[in-house]
Amino acid sequence: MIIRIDPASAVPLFEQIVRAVRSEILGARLAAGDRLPSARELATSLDINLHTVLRAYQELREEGLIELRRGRGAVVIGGPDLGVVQRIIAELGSEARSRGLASDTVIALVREELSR
Amino acid sequence: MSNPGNPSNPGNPGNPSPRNLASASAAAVDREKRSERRVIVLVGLVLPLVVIAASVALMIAWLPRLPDPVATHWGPSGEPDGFGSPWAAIGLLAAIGVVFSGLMTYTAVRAVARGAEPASVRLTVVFSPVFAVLLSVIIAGSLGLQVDLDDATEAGDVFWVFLAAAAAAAVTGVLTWLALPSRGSNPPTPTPEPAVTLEPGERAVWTRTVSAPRQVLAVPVAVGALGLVPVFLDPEMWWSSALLILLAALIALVLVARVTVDSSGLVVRSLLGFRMLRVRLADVVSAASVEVDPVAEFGGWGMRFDSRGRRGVVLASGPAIQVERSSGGPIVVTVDDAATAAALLNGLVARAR
Repeated sequence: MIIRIDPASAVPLFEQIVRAVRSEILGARLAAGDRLPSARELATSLDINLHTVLRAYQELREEGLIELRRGRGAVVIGGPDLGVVQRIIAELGSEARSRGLASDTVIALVREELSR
Repeated sequence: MSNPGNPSNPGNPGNPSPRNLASASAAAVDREKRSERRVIVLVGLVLPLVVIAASVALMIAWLPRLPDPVATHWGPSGEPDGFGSPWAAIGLLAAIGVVFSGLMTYTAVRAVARGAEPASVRLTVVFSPVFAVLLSVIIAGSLGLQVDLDDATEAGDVFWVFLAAAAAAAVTGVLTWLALPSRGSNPPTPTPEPAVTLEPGERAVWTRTVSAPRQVLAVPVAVGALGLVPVFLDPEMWWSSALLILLAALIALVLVARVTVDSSGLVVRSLLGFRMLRVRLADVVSAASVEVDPVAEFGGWGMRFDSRGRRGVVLASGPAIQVERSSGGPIVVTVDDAATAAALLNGLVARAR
Protein backbone atom coordinates (compact mmCIF):
# COMPACT_ATOMS: atom_id res chain seq x y z
CA MET A 1 0.00 0.00 0.00
CA ILE A 2 1.27 3.43 -0.86
CA ILE A 3 0.19 6.60 0.96
CA ARG A 4 1.18 10.03 -0.33
CA ILE A 5 0.19 13.15 1.56
CA ASP A 6 0.79 16.81 0.87
CA PRO A 7 0.83 19.08 3.93
CA ALA A 8 0.38 22.10 1.63
CA SER A 9 -2.96 20.81 0.35
CA ALA A 10 -6.27 22.30 1.58
CA VAL A 11 -7.48 18.77 2.33
CA PRO A 12 -6.85 17.90 6.00
CA LEU A 13 -4.04 15.37 6.56
CA PHE A 14 -6.28 12.75 8.19
CA GLU A 15 -8.63 13.00 5.19
CA GLN A 16 -5.71 12.46 2.82
CA ILE A 17 -4.81 9.26 4.68
CA VAL A 18 -8.44 8.10 4.61
CA ARG A 19 -8.59 8.67 0.85
CA ALA A 20 -5.31 6.85 0.23
CA VAL A 21 -6.27 3.78 2.28
CA ARG A 22 -9.79 3.77 0.86
CA SER A 23 -8.55 3.78 -2.71
CA GLU A 24 -6.10 0.97 -1.91
CA ILE A 25 -9.00 -1.10 -0.55
CA LEU A 26 -11.42 -0.23 -3.37
CA GLY A 27 -8.66 -0.86 -5.91
CA ALA A 28 -8.13 -4.33 -4.37
CA ARG A 29 -4.50 -3.56 -3.57
CA LEU A 30 -5.41 -4.23 0.06
CA ALA A 31 -7.52 -7.31 0.75
CA ALA A 32 -9.64 -8.43 3.69
CA GLY A 33 -7.36 -9.65 6.48
CA ASP A 34 -4.41 -7.44 5.52
CA ARG A 35 -2.97 -5.54 8.44
CA LEU A 36 -2.33 -1.84 8.25
CA PRO A 37 0.85 -0.55 9.88
CA SER A 38 0.41 0.54 13.48
CA ALA A 39 -0.68 4.16 13.87
CA ARG A 40 2.64 4.91 15.52
CA GLU A 41 4.66 3.44 12.63
CA LEU A 42 2.62 5.30 10.04
CA ALA A 43 2.88 8.58 11.96
CA THR A 44 6.67 8.19 12.11
CA SER A 45 6.94 7.28 8.41
CA LEU A 46 4.86 10.28 7.33
CA ASP A 47 6.29 12.57 9.99
CA ILE A 48 2.86 13.59 11.26
CA ASN A 49 1.06 13.56 14.60
CA LEU A 50 -0.02 10.17 15.96
CA HIS A 51 -3.51 11.54 16.59
CA THR A 52 -3.90 12.44 12.93
CA VAL A 53 -3.36 8.79 11.98
CA LEU A 54 -5.63 7.58 14.78
CA ARG A 55 -8.35 9.90 13.55
CA ALA A 56 -7.95 8.58 10.00
CA TYR A 57 -8.16 4.97 11.24
CA GLN A 58 -11.28 5.90 13.23
CA GLU A 59 -12.90 7.31 10.08
CA LEU A 60 -12.04 4.17 8.11
CA ARG A 61 -13.53 2.06 10.88
CA GLU A 62 -16.76 4.05 10.87
CA GLU A 63 -16.92 3.59 7.11
CA GLY A 64 -16.74 -0.16 7.68
CA LEU A 65 -13.47 -0.62 5.79
CA ILE A 66 -11.22 -1.62 8.67
CA GLU A 67 -11.49 -3.12 12.10
CA LEU A 68 -9.49 -1.89 15.09
CA ARG A 69 -8.55 -4.73 17.39
CA ARG A 70 -6.65 -4.42 20.59
CA GLY A 71 -3.28 -6.08 20.12
CA ARG A 72 -3.68 -6.76 16.41
CA GLY A 73 -3.99 -3.16 15.27
CA ALA A 74 -5.93 -2.14 12.16
CA VAL A 75 -7.12 -4.97 9.94
CA VAL A 76 -8.84 -4.55 6.58
CA ILE A 77 -12.31 -6.13 6.51
CA GLY A 78 -12.82 -5.51 2.83
CA GLY A 79 -14.83 -2.92 1.00
CA PRO A 80 -18.59 -3.07 0.55
CA ASP A 81 -19.86 -5.26 -2.29
CA LEU A 82 -19.30 -2.95 -5.24
CA GLY A 83 -20.22 -5.31 -8.08
CA VAL A 84 -23.11 -3.42 -9.74
CA VAL A 85 -22.03 0.04 -8.61
CA GLN A 86 -18.60 -0.47 -10.12
CA ARG A 87 -20.09 -1.55 -13.46
CA ILE A 88 -22.36 1.50 -13.57
CA ILE A 89 -19.44 3.77 -12.72
CA ALA A 90 -17.38 2.23 -15.53
CA GLU A 91 -20.29 2.87 -17.90
CA LEU A 92 -20.62 6.42 -16.59
CA GLY A 93 -16.93 6.99 -17.21
CA SER A 94 -16.95 5.79 -20.81
CA GLU A 95 -20.20 7.67 -21.52
CA ALA A 96 -18.78 10.89 -20.06
CA ARG A 97 -15.60 10.50 -22.11
CA SER A 98 -17.45 9.89 -25.36
CA ARG A 99 -19.57 13.01 -24.77
CA GLY A 100 -16.54 15.06 -23.77
CA LEU A 101 -17.91 15.94 -20.32
CA ALA A 102 -15.40 17.44 -17.90
CA SER A 103 -14.71 15.15 -14.92
CA ASP A 104 -15.65 17.97 -12.52
CA THR A 105 -19.06 18.14 -14.18
CA VAL A 106 -19.60 14.39 -13.82
CA ILE A 107 -18.46 14.40 -10.18
CA ALA A 108 -20.74 17.36 -9.43
CA LEU A 109 -23.67 15.45 -10.94
CA VAL A 110 -22.89 12.35 -8.89
CA ARG A 111 -22.55 14.43 -5.74
CA GLU A 112 -25.85 16.14 -6.49
CA GLU A 113 -27.55 12.78 -6.89
CA LEU A 114 -26.07 11.35 -3.69
CA SER A 115 -27.03 14.37 -1.57
CA ARG A 116 -30.72 14.08 -2.44
CA MET B 1 16.99 -33.67 -16.66
CA SER B 2 20.30 -32.60 -18.12
CA ASN B 3 18.96 -32.26 -21.61
CA PRO B 4 15.28 -31.34 -21.92
CA GLY B 5 15.62 -31.28 -25.71
CA ASN B 6 16.11 -35.01 -25.60
CA PRO B 7 14.32 -36.34 -22.52
CA SER B 8 14.57 -39.98 -23.56
CA ASN B 9 18.34 -39.79 -23.39
CA PRO B 10 19.26 -37.63 -20.42
CA GLY B 11 22.50 -39.46 -19.73
CA ASN B 12 24.07 -38.52 -23.04
CA PRO B 13 24.33 -34.77 -23.33
CA GLY B 14 26.94 -35.16 -26.06
CA ASN B 15 24.15 -36.01 -28.44
CA PRO B 16 21.92 -32.92 -28.47
CA SER B 17 18.76 -32.94 -30.47
CA PRO B 18 18.85 -30.79 -33.60
CA ARG B 19 17.55 -27.29 -33.05
CA ASN B 20 16.71 -24.41 -35.23
CA LEU B 21 18.90 -21.65 -33.86
CA ALA B 22 18.53 -18.08 -34.89
CA SER B 23 22.22 -17.20 -34.95
CA ALA B 24 25.65 -18.53 -34.20
CA SER B 25 25.95 -16.45 -31.03
CA ALA B 26 22.62 -17.75 -29.76
CA ALA B 27 23.94 -21.21 -30.46
CA ALA B 28 27.07 -20.46 -28.45
CA VAL B 29 25.07 -19.16 -25.48
CA ASP B 30 22.79 -22.15 -25.71
CA ARG B 31 25.75 -24.51 -25.81
CA GLU B 32 27.29 -22.79 -22.79
CA LYS B 33 24.03 -23.00 -20.83
CA ARG B 34 23.79 -26.68 -21.66
CA SER B 35 27.32 -27.38 -20.55
CA GLU B 36 26.71 -25.46 -17.32
CA ARG B 37 23.61 -27.51 -16.67
CA ARG B 38 25.63 -30.66 -17.32
CA VAL B 39 28.16 -29.61 -14.65
CA ILE B 40 25.32 -28.90 -12.19
CA VAL B 41 23.84 -32.36 -12.71
CA LEU B 42 27.28 -33.96 -12.53
CA VAL B 43 28.20 -32.27 -9.24
CA GLY B 44 24.75 -32.18 -7.66
CA LEU B 45 23.45 -35.61 -8.64
CA VAL B 46 25.97 -37.95 -10.29
CA LEU B 47 28.83 -37.35 -7.85
CA PRO B 48 26.70 -37.83 -4.68
CA LEU B 49 25.10 -40.96 -6.16
CA VAL B 50 28.54 -42.42 -6.94
CA VAL B 51 29.75 -41.65 -3.40
CA ILE B 52 26.63 -43.19 -1.88
CA ALA B 53 26.75 -46.25 -4.15
CA ALA B 54 30.43 -46.82 -3.28
CA SER B 55 29.69 -46.52 0.47
CA VAL B 56 26.73 -48.86 0.20
CA ALA B 57 28.84 -51.39 -1.75
CA LEU B 58 31.60 -51.15 0.86
CA MET B 59 29.17 -51.70 3.74
CA ILE B 60 27.58 -54.68 1.98
CA ALA B 61 31.05 -56.16 1.48
CA TRP B 62 31.66 -55.75 5.23
CA LEU B 63 28.39 -57.42 6.19
CA PRO B 64 29.79 -60.94 6.88
CA ARG B 65 32.47 -59.45 9.16
CA LEU B 66 30.12 -57.20 11.13
CA PRO B 67 28.44 -58.09 14.43
CA ASP B 68 24.66 -58.18 14.32
CA PRO B 69 23.21 -55.98 15.74
CA VAL B 70 25.72 -53.19 15.11
CA ALA B 71 26.16 -50.09 17.23
CA THR B 72 24.17 -47.23 15.66
CA HIS B 73 24.31 -44.60 18.38
CA TRP B 74 27.00 -43.46 20.76
CA GLY B 75 26.40 -41.79 24.12
CA PRO B 76 28.11 -38.62 25.32
CA SER B 77 30.88 -40.67 26.97
CA GLY B 78 31.82 -42.29 23.65
CA GLU B 79 30.35 -45.67 24.56
CA PRO B 80 27.83 -47.18 22.12
CA ASP B 81 24.32 -47.04 23.55
CA GLY B 82 22.07 -47.77 20.57
CA PHE B 83 22.05 -50.90 18.40
CA GLY B 84 20.34 -51.97 15.20
CA SER B 85 20.55 -54.00 12.03
CA PRO B 86 23.39 -53.01 9.67
CA TRP B 87 20.80 -52.98 6.88
CA ALA B 88 19.04 -50.09 8.60
CA ALA B 89 22.24 -48.02 8.37
CA ILE B 90 22.68 -48.94 4.71
CA GLY B 91 19.05 -48.14 3.90
CA LEU B 92 19.20 -44.85 5.78
CA LEU B 93 22.22 -43.67 3.82
CA ALA B 94 20.80 -44.73 0.47
CA ALA B 95 17.36 -43.22 1.06
CA ILE B 96 18.37 -39.86 2.58
CA GLY B 97 21.27 -39.43 0.16
CA VAL B 98 19.28 -40.11 -2.99
CA VAL B 99 16.28 -37.98 -1.97
CA PHE B 100 18.44 -35.05 -0.82
CA SER B 101 20.70 -34.87 -3.86
CA GLY B 102 17.74 -35.36 -6.20
CA LEU B 103 15.85 -32.52 -4.50
CA MET B 104 18.79 -30.11 -4.49
CA THR B 105 19.67 -30.77 -8.11
CA TYR B 106 16.06 -30.54 -9.25
CA THR B 107 15.72 -27.18 -7.47
CA ALA B 108 18.88 -25.85 -9.08
CA VAL B 109 18.14 -27.09 -12.59
CA ARG B 110 14.60 -25.72 -12.42
CA ALA B 111 15.86 -22.31 -11.30
CA VAL B 112 18.38 -22.20 -14.16
CA ALA B 113 15.69 -23.27 -16.64
CA ARG B 114 13.60 -20.33 -15.39
CA GLY B 115 16.44 -17.95 -16.14
CA ALA B 116 18.50 -17.81 -12.92
CA GLU B 117 22.26 -17.38 -13.38
CA PRO B 118 23.97 -20.78 -12.98
CA ALA B 119 26.39 -19.07 -10.59
CA SER B 120 23.50 -18.15 -8.30
CA VAL B 121 22.63 -21.80 -7.59
CA ARG B 122 26.22 -22.76 -6.71
CA LEU B 123 25.58 -22.97 -2.97
CA THR B 124 22.50 -25.16 -3.43
CA VAL B 125 24.35 -27.57 -5.71
CA VAL B 126 27.43 -27.78 -3.46
CA PHE B 127 25.26 -28.81 -0.48
CA SER B 128 24.35 -32.01 -2.29
CA PRO B 129 27.82 -33.69 -2.56
CA VAL B 130 28.90 -32.17 0.79
CA PHE B 131 25.94 -33.78 2.51
CA ALA B 132 26.43 -37.09 0.65
CA VAL B 133 30.11 -37.26 1.71
CA LEU B 134 29.33 -36.25 5.30
CA LEU B 135 26.59 -38.84 5.66
CA SER B 136 28.57 -41.57 3.83
CA VAL B 137 31.69 -41.14 5.97
CA ILE B 138 29.69 -41.01 9.21
CA ILE B 139 27.57 -44.09 8.46
CA ALA B 140 30.19 -46.20 6.65
CA GLY B 141 32.89 -45.07 9.10
CA SER B 142 30.89 -46.03 12.17
CA LEU B 143 30.28 -49.47 10.65
CA GLY B 144 33.95 -49.69 9.66
CA LEU B 145 34.90 -49.34 13.35
CA GLN B 146 33.03 -52.56 14.03
CA VAL B 147 34.50 -54.82 11.35
CA ASP B 148 35.70 -58.13 12.85
CA LEU B 149 34.18 -57.33 16.28
CA ASP B 150 32.23 -60.12 17.99
CA ASP B 151 30.07 -57.74 19.99
CA ALA B 152 29.07 -54.23 18.98
CA THR B 153 29.40 -52.96 22.57
CA GLU B 154 33.17 -53.09 22.03
CA ALA B 155 32.93 -50.50 19.24
CA GLY B 156 35.40 -47.65 19.70
CA ASP B 157 34.72 -43.95 19.95
CA VAL B 158 33.16 -42.38 16.86
CA PHE B 159 34.72 -38.97 17.49
CA TRP B 160 37.40 -39.51 14.83
CA VAL B 161 34.80 -40.67 12.34
CA PHE B 162 32.94 -37.38 12.78
CA LEU B 163 36.17 -35.41 12.46
CA ALA B 164 37.10 -37.29 9.27
CA ALA B 165 33.58 -36.77 7.92
CA ALA B 166 33.73 -33.04 8.55
CA ALA B 167 37.15 -32.78 6.91
CA ALA B 168 36.11 -34.82 3.87
CA ALA B 169 32.91 -32.76 3.54
CA ALA B 170 34.87 -29.49 3.72
CA VAL B 171 37.31 -30.62 1.03
CA THR B 172 34.40 -31.78 -1.14
CA GLY B 173 32.71 -28.42 -0.65
CA VAL B 174 35.74 -26.43 -1.75
CA LEU B 175 36.51 -28.64 -4.77
CA THR B 176 32.92 -28.80 -6.04
CA TRP B 177 32.48 -25.07 -5.47
CA LEU B 178 35.46 -24.46 -7.77
CA ALA B 179 34.13 -26.93 -10.34
CA LEU B 180 30.77 -25.18 -10.67
CA PRO B 181 30.13 -22.41 -13.19
CA SER B 182 31.05 -18.98 -11.89
CA ARG B 183 30.08 -17.09 -15.04
CA GLY B 184 28.02 -14.09 -14.13
CA SER B 185 29.26 -14.01 -10.55
CA ASN B 186 29.07 -10.26 -10.99
CA PRO B 187 25.80 -10.03 -12.90
CA PRO B 188 24.80 -6.65 -14.28
CA THR B 189 22.85 -4.43 -11.91
CA PRO B 190 19.14 -4.82 -12.66
CA THR B 191 17.50 -1.84 -14.34
CA PRO B 192 16.25 0.56 -11.66
CA GLU B 193 12.50 1.08 -11.48
CA PRO B 194 11.43 4.50 -12.90
CA ALA B 195 11.26 6.90 -9.96
CA VAL B 196 7.96 8.17 -8.59
CA THR B 197 7.86 11.98 -8.97
CA LEU B 198 7.48 13.59 -5.56
CA GLU B 199 6.59 17.25 -4.95
CA PRO B 200 9.04 19.11 -2.66
CA GLY B 201 6.86 19.01 0.49
CA GLU B 202 5.12 15.74 -0.26
CA ARG B 203 5.42 12.80 2.16
CA ALA B 204 5.05 9.21 1.08
CA VAL B 205 5.18 5.74 2.56
CA TRP B 206 4.91 2.29 1.00
CA THR B 207 4.35 -0.64 3.33
CA ARG B 208 3.36 -4.27 3.02
CA THR B 209 3.64 -7.50 4.98
CA VAL B 210 5.35 -10.58 3.61
CA SER B 211 5.12 -14.10 4.93
CA ALA B 212 6.94 -17.35 4.19
CA PRO B 213 4.85 -20.03 2.42
CA ARG B 214 2.62 -22.25 4.55
CA GLN B 215 4.94 -25.27 4.31
CA VAL B 216 7.72 -23.18 5.84
CA LEU B 217 5.46 -21.69 8.52
CA ALA B 218 4.70 -25.29 9.51
CA VAL B 219 8.34 -25.71 10.62
CA PRO B 220 8.11 -23.64 13.84
CA VAL B 221 4.72 -25.23 14.57
CA ALA B 222 6.29 -28.70 14.25
CA VAL B 223 9.32 -27.71 16.34
CA GLY B 224 7.01 -26.27 19.02
CA ALA B 225 4.87 -29.43 19.06
CA LEU B 226 8.03 -31.54 19.26
CA GLY B 227 9.06 -29.34 22.17
CA LEU B 228 6.20 -30.72 24.24
CA VAL B 229 7.49 -34.28 23.95
CA PRO B 230 10.39 -34.17 26.50
CA VAL B 231 8.35 -32.59 29.30
CA PHE B 232 5.56 -35.06 28.61
CA LEU B 233 7.96 -38.01 28.89
CA ASP B 234 9.72 -36.69 31.96
CA PRO B 235 8.76 -33.46 33.77
CA GLU B 236 12.41 -32.97 34.73
CA MET B 237 13.19 -32.44 31.06
CA TRP B 238 11.24 -29.16 31.10
CA TRP B 239 14.32 -27.17 30.10
CA SER B 240 14.73 -29.01 26.79
CA SER B 241 11.03 -28.38 26.10
CA ALA B 242 11.55 -24.72 26.93
CA LEU B 243 14.56 -24.54 24.59
CA LEU B 244 12.67 -26.12 21.69
CA ILE B 245 9.65 -23.86 22.18
CA LEU B 246 11.94 -20.83 22.35
CA LEU B 247 13.59 -22.00 19.12
CA ALA B 248 10.15 -22.36 17.47
CA ALA B 249 9.25 -18.83 18.56
CA LEU B 250 12.52 -17.48 17.18
CA ILE B 251 11.96 -19.20 13.82
CA ALA B 252 8.35 -17.95 13.67
CA LEU B 253 9.55 -14.46 14.49
CA VAL B 254 11.60 -14.10 11.31
CA LEU B 255 9.12 -15.71 8.91
CA VAL B 256 6.56 -12.90 8.85
CA ALA B 257 7.67 -9.32 8.37
CA ARG B 258 6.57 -5.83 7.43
CA VAL B 259 8.53 -4.04 4.73
CA THR B 260 8.39 -0.24 4.75
CA VAL B 261 9.80 2.39 2.39
CA ASP B 262 9.71 5.98 3.63
CA SER B 263 11.91 9.06 3.84
CA SER B 264 14.28 7.23 6.21
CA GLY B 265 14.92 4.48 3.63
CA LEU B 266 14.00 0.79 3.59
CA VAL B 267 13.16 -1.06 6.81
CA VAL B 268 12.12 -4.67 7.41
CA ARG B 269 10.63 -5.42 10.81
CA SER B 270 9.50 -8.76 12.14
CA LEU B 271 5.87 -8.75 13.23
CA LEU B 272 6.87 -8.29 16.86
CA GLY B 273 8.64 -5.12 15.88
CA PHE B 274 12.33 -5.99 16.02
CA ARG B 275 14.28 -4.65 13.08
CA MET B 276 15.64 -7.32 10.74
CA LEU B 277 17.16 -5.01 8.17
CA ARG B 278 17.57 -1.35 7.36
CA VAL B 279 19.03 0.57 4.45
CA ARG B 280 19.25 4.31 5.11
CA LEU B 281 18.07 6.53 2.29
CA ALA B 282 21.52 8.16 2.02
CA ASP B 283 23.02 4.70 1.41
CA VAL B 284 20.64 3.86 -1.46
CA VAL B 285 22.11 4.16 -4.94
CA SER B 286 19.12 2.73 -6.80
CA ALA B 287 16.33 0.21 -6.38
CA ALA B 288 14.97 -2.36 -8.82
CA SER B 289 12.37 -5.08 -8.86
CA VAL B 290 13.77 -8.59 -9.45
CA GLU B 291 12.50 -12.18 -9.28
CA VAL B 292 13.87 -14.40 -6.52
CA ASP B 293 13.76 -18.16 -5.94
CA PRO B 294 14.57 -18.54 -2.20
CA VAL B 295 15.65 -22.18 -2.21
CA ALA B 296 17.69 -22.15 -5.42
CA GLU B 297 19.36 -18.77 -4.97
CA PHE B 298 19.55 -18.37 -1.19
CA GLY B 299 19.34 -21.98 0.00
CA GLY B 300 16.19 -21.40 2.02
CA TRP B 301 14.01 -18.84 3.76
CA GLY B 302 14.75 -16.16 6.32
CA MET B 303 17.64 -13.74 6.73
CA ARG B 304 19.93 -14.97 3.98
CA PHE B 305 22.90 -14.27 1.74
CA ASP B 306 23.69 -15.76 -1.66
CA SER B 307 26.80 -16.64 -3.63
CA ARG B 308 26.62 -13.38 -5.59
CA GLY B 309 27.20 -11.20 -2.54
CA ARG B 310 23.56 -10.23 -2.09
CA ARG B 311 21.97 -10.51 1.32
CA GLY B 312 18.58 -9.72 2.77
CA VAL B 313 15.25 -11.00 3.98
CA VAL B 314 14.07 -13.78 1.68
CA LEU B 315 10.65 -15.12 2.64
CA ALA B 316 8.73 -15.81 -0.57
CA SER B 317 9.45 -16.72 -4.17
CA GLY B 318 8.55 -14.07 -6.70
CA PRO B 319 9.14 -10.33 -6.79
CA ALA B 320 11.78 -8.71 -4.60
CA ILE B 321 13.19 -5.25 -4.07
CA GLN B 322 16.90 -5.18 -4.89
CA VAL B 323 18.71 -2.14 -3.50
CA GLU B 324 22.18 -1.19 -4.71
CA ARG B 325 24.07 0.53 -1.88
CA SER B 326 27.07 2.78 -1.70
CA SER B 327 28.35 1.08 1.47
CA GLY B 328 28.29 -2.58 0.36
CA GLY B 329 26.66 -5.34 -1.66
CA PRO B 330 23.06 -5.34 -2.85
CA ILE B 331 20.20 -5.92 -0.41
CA VAL B 332 17.27 -8.13 -1.45
CA VAL B 333 13.84 -8.16 0.20
CA THR B 334 11.15 -10.40 -1.24
CA VAL B 335 7.73 -8.77 -1.15
CA ASP B 336 4.73 -8.44 -3.46
CA ASP B 337 4.38 -5.18 -5.38
CA ALA B 338 8.17 -4.72 -5.17
CA ALA B 339 8.06 -2.51 -8.28
CA THR B 340 6.01 0.18 -6.49
CA ALA B 341 8.33 0.05 -3.49
CA ALA B 342 11.43 0.38 -5.68
CA ALA B 343 9.87 3.23 -7.66
CA LEU B 344 9.08 5.14 -4.45
CA LEU B 345 12.56 4.50 -3.05
CA ASN B 346 14.09 5.88 -6.28
CA GLY B 347 11.75 8.89 -6.08
CA LEU B 348 12.78 9.60 -2.48
CA VAL B 349 16.46 9.29 -3.41
CA ALA B 350 16.05 11.58 -6.43
CA ARG B 351 14.35 14.26 -4.32
CA ALA B 352 16.93 14.04 -1.53
CA ARG B 353 19.80 14.73 -3.95
